Amino acid sequence: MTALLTIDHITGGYNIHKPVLHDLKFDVGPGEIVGLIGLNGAGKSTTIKHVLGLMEPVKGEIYINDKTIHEDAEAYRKQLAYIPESPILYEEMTLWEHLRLTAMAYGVPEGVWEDRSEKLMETYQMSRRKNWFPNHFSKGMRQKVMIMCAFLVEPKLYVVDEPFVGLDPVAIKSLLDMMVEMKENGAGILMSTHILATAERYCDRFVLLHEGRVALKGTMKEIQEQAGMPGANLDDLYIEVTKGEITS
Amino acid sequence: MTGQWWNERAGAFWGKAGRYLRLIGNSGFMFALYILLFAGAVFYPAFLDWLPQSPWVVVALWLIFSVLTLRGPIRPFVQSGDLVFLLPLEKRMVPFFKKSIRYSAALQGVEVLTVYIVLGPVIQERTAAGGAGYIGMLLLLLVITFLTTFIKWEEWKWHNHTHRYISTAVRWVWPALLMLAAWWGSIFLAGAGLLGLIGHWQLVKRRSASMLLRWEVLLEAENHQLAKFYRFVQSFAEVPHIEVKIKRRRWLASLVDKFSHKQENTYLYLYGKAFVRSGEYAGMFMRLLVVCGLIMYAFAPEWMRLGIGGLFLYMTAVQLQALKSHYATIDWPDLYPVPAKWKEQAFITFTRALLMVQGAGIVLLHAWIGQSLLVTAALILFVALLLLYYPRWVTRRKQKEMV
Repeated sequence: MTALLTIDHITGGYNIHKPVLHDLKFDVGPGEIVGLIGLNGAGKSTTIKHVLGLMEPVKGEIYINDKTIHEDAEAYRKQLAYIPESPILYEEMTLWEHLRLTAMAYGVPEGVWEDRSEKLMETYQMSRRKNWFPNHFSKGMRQKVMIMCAFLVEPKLYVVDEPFVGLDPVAIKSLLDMMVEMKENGAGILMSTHILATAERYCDRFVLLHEGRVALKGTMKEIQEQAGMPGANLDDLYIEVTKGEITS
Repeated sequence: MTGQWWNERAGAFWGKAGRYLRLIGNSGFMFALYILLFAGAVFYPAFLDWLPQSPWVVVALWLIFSVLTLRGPIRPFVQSGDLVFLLPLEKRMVPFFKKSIRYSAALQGVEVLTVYIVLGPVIQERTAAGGAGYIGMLLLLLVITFLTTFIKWEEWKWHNHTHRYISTAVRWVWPALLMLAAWWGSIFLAGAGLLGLIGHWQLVKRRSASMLLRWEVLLEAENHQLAKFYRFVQSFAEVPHIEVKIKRRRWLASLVDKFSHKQENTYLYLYGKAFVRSGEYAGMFMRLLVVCGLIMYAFAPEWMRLGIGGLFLYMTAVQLQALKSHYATIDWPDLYPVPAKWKEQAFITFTRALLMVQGAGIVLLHAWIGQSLLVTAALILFVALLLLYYPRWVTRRKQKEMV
């Protein structure tokens, strides 16, 4: 296998008798951005929780560089960084301390993490807020902290859940530029989003989920063919999928 | 119908409050209360003897009870959703709010009653409210408490700031004068004052009869009252309902920054920042040391001082265990590529170091207050033993929790 992240026929959910995900299979290779698209409740966040190891699949396995989380949890986790949909911050830590803690936990050495952090703070216009506590941050600023922590680690795989909510246009641009830069450096990115126009422009491949199943997957061209809608844009394909008539 | 809603809301609140109060009862608070009552019973007669024969005692009593009776906090029992859903039913909410007002006044009445009983001996001995007047004065205070609450409720409807300020000022001045008269024994004046207060209430009521409620003011009052309750509970138990106040504590926090930058220290760093800044961990730690010193000072027998020192160190250890679940609701610590056993180790290392500091503090206190070097030595031995067995104790607690 050459893929970075492999989701191999997983079935799972919150209740063992009522799985949310059904036999999901797709992968993310190095140097590509894969868009995870679906309605609310289609199973995007559940898929992401499985990848993070916060939930365990009932059936199937998830590999990062051919290793499951059970084989070596630390090695598995070290390779991925996560940007959650709703920012999760330590209320008792300042922005700078969040960065330091992340660097510590992921083993980013001294001297390196400070440089990266300073640059990130500048990019996201947060330098002035270095010693602020999260309770003074707006939703967008909290999201920026999450983004900065993820990019500070520079992992092989980024798992990004709805990253644009609450961000200002400058920050959205910076985030997209950074994702492209990391991709060009060989990282893989799995991104769930509802902003389809952006996804269409930036993602190399797509996985369209409907009711916990993969409805369409592949490059833009491939999913157009699968849906029998040549030339259709992602919005139209997405609407078609939500009608429930397309299954792979 | 709306009265029934009120019953459900108040019932739900008291159900929750009851659980918290039980938690507080189990948290060593009762023990502290017993000690306080005991110390109170011992020192109260001495305090009465010491109290000078001065008219200022009456003034002090008057001030205390003026504040207690005239504050009139109201808990309306509204929720944020009501501003959308119950707004159209405002006219039908009268029974609901009547209950809220009576409830608030009654609760404040209980507060007045408690303080009145505690200060009973002083009141009996030093004021006109001695003997038969004792009950009469209490009744007067309770009537004022209820009237104040009624008036305040009507004032809340007013949009005109100036009118509200005037009414508030009158609401404070009338009863204050009335009570001053009563404390000095001028019952005639007190009666006139009471009539005046009732008149003020009727006037305010007539004025606001056609006015609408200001729901946002009600919601603000509700949140304020609720936060007060939860802040009280917060000193004993973890409360998920309120945001914990974070304190920067620059100097203490900078000590945590001294941990060297390596993966092993990830959780030490986390626990360190939480202890210094969040919840009341550091505050609790200091308070226990101070109270330990005070009690050691108050109880002369040396063997008792030894017991008190040991008990407070043990209490510190128990309270510190809360730190362990501090990050239970956050995903990050579970996602870090750091072995889970380091987390457990970091917790033990960190809290053990804190216990060592607390132990040293208690030993020093004893060396200062106590008179027996032997007991100080015994205390040192106790601290050493506790530190030695601490890791095993934590692991055993964890196993018990799992069962």
